[in-house]
Amino acid sequence: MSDRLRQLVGETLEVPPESVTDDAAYGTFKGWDSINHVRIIFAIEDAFGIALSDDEVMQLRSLAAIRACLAGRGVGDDESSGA
Amino acid sequence: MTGAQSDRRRAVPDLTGYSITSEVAGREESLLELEGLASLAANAFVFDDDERSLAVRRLLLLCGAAEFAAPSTTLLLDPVGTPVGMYAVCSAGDLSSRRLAGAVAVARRGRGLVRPDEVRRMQRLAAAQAPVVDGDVYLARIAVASSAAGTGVGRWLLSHMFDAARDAGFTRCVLDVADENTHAGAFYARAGFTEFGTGVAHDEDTGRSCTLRHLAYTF
Repeated sequence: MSDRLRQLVGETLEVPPESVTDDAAYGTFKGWDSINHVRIIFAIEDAFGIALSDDEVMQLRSLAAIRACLAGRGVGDDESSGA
Repeated sequence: MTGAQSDRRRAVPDLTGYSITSEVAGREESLLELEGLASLAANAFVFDDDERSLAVRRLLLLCGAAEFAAPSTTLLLDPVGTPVGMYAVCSAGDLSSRRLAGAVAVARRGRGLVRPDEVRRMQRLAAAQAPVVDGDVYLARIAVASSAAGTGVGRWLLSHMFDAARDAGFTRCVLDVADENTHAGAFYARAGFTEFGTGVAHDEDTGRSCTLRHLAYTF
């Protein structure tokens, strides 16, 4: 299954995308520290062509939260759109 | 009055006319000066010189992203209103949010100001810091102006922080102290802190290392 978000997070954290579980989150998932969180957000902004506010960057702390945000903006990745 | 250093340290300071405030606005430069005294080893690891250190720490403070930004900081003002001591505390959640806010500030507003190698060393240093869990209060900074050193103000500030943290429901105080800072290490040992681990930040490009001792005091 293609999942751009999981791919982006995996690439940023330098781990296999399949190891990025749905409950992966800032502060708990290996390597997902504050600096890498911002790198993840920048990668998402570039990949999906969106801009996230500082408040959103602070709030979108998990794969699930980011996925929900992308879906809300209509730029959800393949998995969230049911493909 | 013997003037002996050990006696002065144990004396209860006369703080008549002094006041406590968490109002940082307008006192940023004094705060940076004081806070810098409590982060010498960390700043020497991250930054090439004092100028770089001050510029980045000022950015983080003004963005509200520093561990010592309001409302985490408590200042002790002398009778004419000059800050002579400070401490900054964060809950586990606060710390997590501050680090995130710091990374956002560095990336968004510090672009061009904060160098990638400095970011890398900040990241390494954060990874070497003590694990902080719910119920902990993290003492991010505590500092006393050189003019008030040795007068018991540090111990007084620590007691003030302990009282406030206990009242707020925290059960343990956690902090990091640089291994090389033996003066501060002795201060915390006298106050009853015990070591529960260490973290080492190393930067191969500069060869710099910073060893942090994790200390805790259970209320």
